[in-house]
Amino acid sequence: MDELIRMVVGVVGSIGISAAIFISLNKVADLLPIGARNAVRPWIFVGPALIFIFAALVVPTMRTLYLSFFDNSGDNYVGGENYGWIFTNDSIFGFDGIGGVFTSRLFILGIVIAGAAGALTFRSGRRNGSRVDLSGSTPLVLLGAAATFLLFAVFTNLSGVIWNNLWWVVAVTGIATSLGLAVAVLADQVKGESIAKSLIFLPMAISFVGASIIWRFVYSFSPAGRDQIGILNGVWVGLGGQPLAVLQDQPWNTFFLIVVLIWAQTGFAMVVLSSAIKAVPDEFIEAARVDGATKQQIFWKIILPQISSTIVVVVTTLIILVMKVFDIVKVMTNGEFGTNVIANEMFDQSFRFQSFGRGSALAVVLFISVLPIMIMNVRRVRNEQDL
Amino acid sequence: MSDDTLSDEPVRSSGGLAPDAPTPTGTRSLETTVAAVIALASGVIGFAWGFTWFLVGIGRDGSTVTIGGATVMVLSGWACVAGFLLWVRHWWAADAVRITCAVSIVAVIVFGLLSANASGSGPFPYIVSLVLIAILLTPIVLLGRPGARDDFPRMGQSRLATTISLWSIVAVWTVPTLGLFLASLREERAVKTEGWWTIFTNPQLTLDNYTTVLGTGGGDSPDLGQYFLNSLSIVLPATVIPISIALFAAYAFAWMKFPGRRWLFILVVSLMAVPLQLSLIPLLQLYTGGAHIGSVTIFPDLDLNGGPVSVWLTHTGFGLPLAIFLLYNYVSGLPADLFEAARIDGADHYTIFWRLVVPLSVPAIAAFGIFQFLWTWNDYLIALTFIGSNADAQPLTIRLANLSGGRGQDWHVLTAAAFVSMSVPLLVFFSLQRYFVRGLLAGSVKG
Repeated sequence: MDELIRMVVGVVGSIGISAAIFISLNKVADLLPIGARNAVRPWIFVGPALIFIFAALVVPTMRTLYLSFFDNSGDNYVGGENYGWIFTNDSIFGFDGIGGVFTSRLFILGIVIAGAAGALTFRSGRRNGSRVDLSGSTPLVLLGAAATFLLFAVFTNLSGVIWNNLWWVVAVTGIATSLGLAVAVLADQVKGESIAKSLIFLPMAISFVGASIIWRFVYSFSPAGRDQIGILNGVWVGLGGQPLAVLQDQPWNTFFLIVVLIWAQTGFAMVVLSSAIKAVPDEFIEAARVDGATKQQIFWKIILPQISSTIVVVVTTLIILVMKVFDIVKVMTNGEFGTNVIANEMFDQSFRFQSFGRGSALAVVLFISVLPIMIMNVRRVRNEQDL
Repeated sequence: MSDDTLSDEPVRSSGGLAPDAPTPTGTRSLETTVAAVIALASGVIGFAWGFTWFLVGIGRDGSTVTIGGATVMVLSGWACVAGFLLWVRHWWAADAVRITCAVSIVAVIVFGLLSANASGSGPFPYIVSLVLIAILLTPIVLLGRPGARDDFPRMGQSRLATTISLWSIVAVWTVPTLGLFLASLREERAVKTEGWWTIFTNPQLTLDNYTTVLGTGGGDSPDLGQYFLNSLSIVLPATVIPISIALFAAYAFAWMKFPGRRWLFILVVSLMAVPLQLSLIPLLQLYTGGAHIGSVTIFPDLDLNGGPVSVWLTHTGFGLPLAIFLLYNYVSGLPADLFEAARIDGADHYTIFWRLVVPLSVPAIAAFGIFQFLWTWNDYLIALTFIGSNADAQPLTIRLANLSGGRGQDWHVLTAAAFVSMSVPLLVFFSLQRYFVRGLLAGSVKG
């Protein structure tokens, strides 16, 4: 019953206290002369929020910046030593596998596909009279596949926390956005749209910890000869493969962790993009159809340009979210087997090893990597809100 | 803001397939003929190969070989049928063949890469994969050419491909959760030794796992009832406090004039994207040691660490930028005439806020409230940092993660525990999905 009392006290108390402060401040303001009253009143309204924001976000951010230049006790200035530790540490930012990138099969495959895509765009470009023609699904899908293979060649060969993080960002953002877009487009055309979308959206409600349990069960592994209890190994062994220790085999275990976040976030991309697609005026599509455009042409030349700004919003939101991925790695592998990411390393350094200097420096690295997106967001909101 | 994005809207691009579509007259184009021959030939060869495989499998009593052979036989049989339908120019044959080829290419890429990686037997698997892909690409390319288009005037209008792809994605998305749920309903031995899919041949259901995880047993009992209450006692204040504070601020930003209004609002917007990792260490130091400048104490050492108050305060701070942004968007969109009229009647900001803004903002408050509720219920990092190992205040997420780490193979406990922790969000999700979607659409920039 302790918790219930705590909860009631929390809710009632916090509302009571804030209402009491607010009402009494307003009464005090009423006593002031009219000019001063009007000058003070806005600050009574925004004051509490600003105090919280400064205390929880603005000041701590500056303090973390400050701490990142100090040693682990926070007393002695060490200059850039913490940052030096990050970028010279092979387990965080290593270049050992760089040679393997260019000889890997993924890389070769990527180059071949990119060549095919290039040839296709030049050919269709010549046919249409322009130099290159990037419209249509085939070249774009091929280029996307080539880029995926090339990037995966890099990430499977280079090991380290920062490379893992980049892999997460690229794979989750790219795959969740394109899958979400695909589902939004597909669902727009068939019956049962709301059921299909609800089921894809459902993982959004599940905590990352819950999602990690769900997928640990999918990936669970029994030695050969025993019945598999995870569906992935169940199918794989059923097809004749040897059971895979999915979460332990490097480097692909990181990708299997990435799948969990893709599963969780595709619904987000789908919902946002779907509402954007439905907002494309019907007249545009009707006009294109009257002019004889095919379904594909309508998608690539009418719908896609119309929703491009929404795609940017989805991509940036996902990048911010994926950059600081923590729960999934913590619960599924605890960063073992070469799956560590910046946020988990930051947590371990700060709260397991009490190295506040290194932890702060890692947090600052996260901050700097989302800084461009913050600036983009502010610009966008300023344009939209006319500020 | 679209009101209802998950509802069934009228199907926009209706294919309009008449089942009695006329068979085209005239001669068959070269493209169609070649595609049909390729399908028929590969079907016959594949069938012979699969049949041999099948016989070998039966002889050797190797079930995987038998299943593999049977699968190849079924697929090749389908290729023969598809080739025949192409030959007679059945109206949906072209679509069916192109879909089949596309799906097969994806399968070849996935399995080819996986097996090549697993076996490490040089370039051979890649060459086989590439040859297969080339063979499968040929009908797709051929049937896309003008000649074949004349043979199949209704090509591309079938919704078959759309339906199949959509529902296969939905299936992949649903199976993990469904599997966990079904497993949680089985007895301990079955969960630990058999795949959950055997439930269909061996349907014995029990709620034992749920009584186990909710019961208050001895030392390592999951005891989730207790943690459930802990979660609630974190989540409700952490949802209510930011809303009440943010609504005042949103009103001020929207309808009051004060110096620095614009810059403060831009600051709020930019803070939505700040990774919360940036605040963890300083806030932990604040809660354990207070804040001092010289000898002046700004924030007393209240020893908040390990209790729920620190988590309430942190969630409030982190939730405020999004809350202000969402509520500002809504409040600033309220009609100005309304406020003008109220002011003429002698109402001041204080009255306008309580009488007009609060009642009118209920939809926006609901949207943000659900957002913040799910966010705090599902949070792990903040609770782990500020509550840590204090079992009296730990929320469900921490308990679940600890169970996963400490009793990782006790799947009968883990499956049920995961579902207990998911019950509240799923309930909220299904009953208030519309508001959740609204909140999501309005503020998809949270950090």
